[in-house]
Amino acid sequence: MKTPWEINDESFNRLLAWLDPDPEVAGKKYEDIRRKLIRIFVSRGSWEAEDLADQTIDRVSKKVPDLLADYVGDPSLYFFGVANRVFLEWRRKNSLPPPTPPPSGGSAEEKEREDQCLNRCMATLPQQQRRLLLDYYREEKQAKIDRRKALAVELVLTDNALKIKVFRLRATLQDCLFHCLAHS
Amino acid sequence: MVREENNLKQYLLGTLGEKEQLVIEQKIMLDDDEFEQLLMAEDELTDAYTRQTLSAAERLQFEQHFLSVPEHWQKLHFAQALQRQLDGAAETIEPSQLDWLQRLGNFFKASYPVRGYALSGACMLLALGGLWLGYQFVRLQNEVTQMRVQLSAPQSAESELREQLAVSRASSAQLEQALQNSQTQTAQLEKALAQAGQTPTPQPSTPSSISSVVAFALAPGALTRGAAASNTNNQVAIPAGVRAVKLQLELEKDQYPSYRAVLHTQGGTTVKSWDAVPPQQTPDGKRLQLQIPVTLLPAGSYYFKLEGVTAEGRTESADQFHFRVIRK
Repeated sequence: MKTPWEINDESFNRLLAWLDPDPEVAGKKYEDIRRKLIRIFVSRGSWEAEDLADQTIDRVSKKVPDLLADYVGDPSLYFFGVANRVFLEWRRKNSLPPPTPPPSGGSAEEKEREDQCLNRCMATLPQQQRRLLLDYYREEKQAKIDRRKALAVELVLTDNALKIKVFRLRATLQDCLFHCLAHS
Repeated sequence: MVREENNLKQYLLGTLGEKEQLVIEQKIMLDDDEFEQLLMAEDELTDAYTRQTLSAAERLQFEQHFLSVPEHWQKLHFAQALQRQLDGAAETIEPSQLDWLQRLGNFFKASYPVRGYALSGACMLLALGGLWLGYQFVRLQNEVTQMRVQLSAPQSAESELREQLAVSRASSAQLEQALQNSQTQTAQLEKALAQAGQTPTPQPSTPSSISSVVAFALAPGALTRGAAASNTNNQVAIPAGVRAVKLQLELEKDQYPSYRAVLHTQGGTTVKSWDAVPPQQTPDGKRLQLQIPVTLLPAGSYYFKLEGVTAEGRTESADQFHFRVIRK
C-alpha cells in the first residue's frame, strides 16, 4: 500500500510551527514523532510502518489550521490518535499475509559474511567498550544478573545507566554491521 | 520495574490487552526514555529467542508476531551474529593467535603426509635444541652478572657515601644562606617599625584573590545511588565568591562536528541549552566546554543531555552526564 507523500512545503512549515516556534526544536520534535510512530506501527505488526507514519503526518498537517485554534495539549498525542485510525484502516484493507521471515539463521555463507563484518566492527571499538559488551551479554540467568551488577559497580553506574550504555553501544555495532554487509 | 519490563515483552509479542497496549504507546509518544526502554526490550526479547530461553508459547508468538515485520529480521540476524561472537570469545585463544595456529596446522595437513611428519619431527628437534641453548645462555649470563656485582660492590658503596656527603654539604650551605636572609629582613622590619611607631595589621583577602570562574570535568554516565555520601565523581563543589562554572564534558567517542547540549535539573526542567558547540582537543581527549553562571546552579542534581549534530544537520542522541552541585 504505497501512498504518495502529499505534504507540501507550506503545510510542512505550518506543521513545524505548530510543534514549536523555534524551527530547530520543531525539526527535532518532528523527527522524534515520526520515529516513534514507525516503532508503534512496527510493534503492532505492520510491515508498512513508514508509509503509515507518513500518512499520519500528512493527515495531521492538513488539520493544523484548525488545531492552532482549538487543540490544547501535547501534539504527540494528537498524532497518536490519528495513527490509531490510520492503523485500523490499514488492517481492514489489508488482507495479504505478512512477508515470510527468512529461514532461521541464514545460509552458512551469509553467517560467515556476518561474522567477518561483526569482527571488523568489534575491532573498531576501543578495547574497554569491547570488553564491556562481551561481559554484559555473557553467562545465563543468575550468573548474568550478578555479572551485570558487578560491572555496574566497577563502572560506578546504576544498573539502568549501564543498561542504556550497553544498549547504545550495541546500536552502534548493529549499524556498523549492516553498513558493512551493505558495502561488502 | 520488572512488571513494566514484562508488559513491554508482552506488548512486543502482541499478547497485551488493548487498553494496556494504548497506555504503553501513549507513554512512548510522550517520553523519550520510555521509547528507549522499548528499544532495549526489543533487544532483550531477540536475545532471549536467540538463546532459546523463551517458553514454547512465547517462541511461537515471537515467530508469528514479532518476526512478521522485516525490521525485526535485521535485529534477529544481529543478535545471532553477536551470540556467535560471544561463543567464540568464550574460548581463551585470541582470534589472531587462532588464525596463526590454524595456518600452521593447515600447512602440516598438506596433501603429503610424509613431508608433514618429517617437518613436524624437524620442528620438534629445533624447538628442543633452542630450549637447551636458551637455558645455557641464561645460566652463563647470571654467573657473569654475579661476578660483576661482587667486583664493584666496595667501589659503589664508597661513591654512594661521597654523594650523600656532597648533598648534605649543599643543604647546609643553603640553610645558612636562608638564615642570613631572614636575619637581614627582621632587622629591616624592626627598623621600619621603629620609624613608623606602630605595629602592622593583617590585610583582609580581597575578592580578586578568588578566581571568578572554576572548571570541572564531567565523565559521561549517571551518579551511583548514594553517591553524595561516598563518591565525588561528577560532583561540582562551587566555592563562595565564584561567579561562573566552566564544565568540560568528556566525549567518549567524538563522531560529530558539533553538539547540542541541554542542561536539565534531575526533575527534568530545562535550565539552559547550547547549540552548535564544537568539540575541543585536550591532552586527555576531546571535550565540550560550557560556561554557566552560578546563579543558574543552586545545590542539587542535574544532567546534560547531549546530541550530536551530523554534517547534514541531523541531530542524534549522543550521551548523558549526570552531576551534583554542592555549594561551599
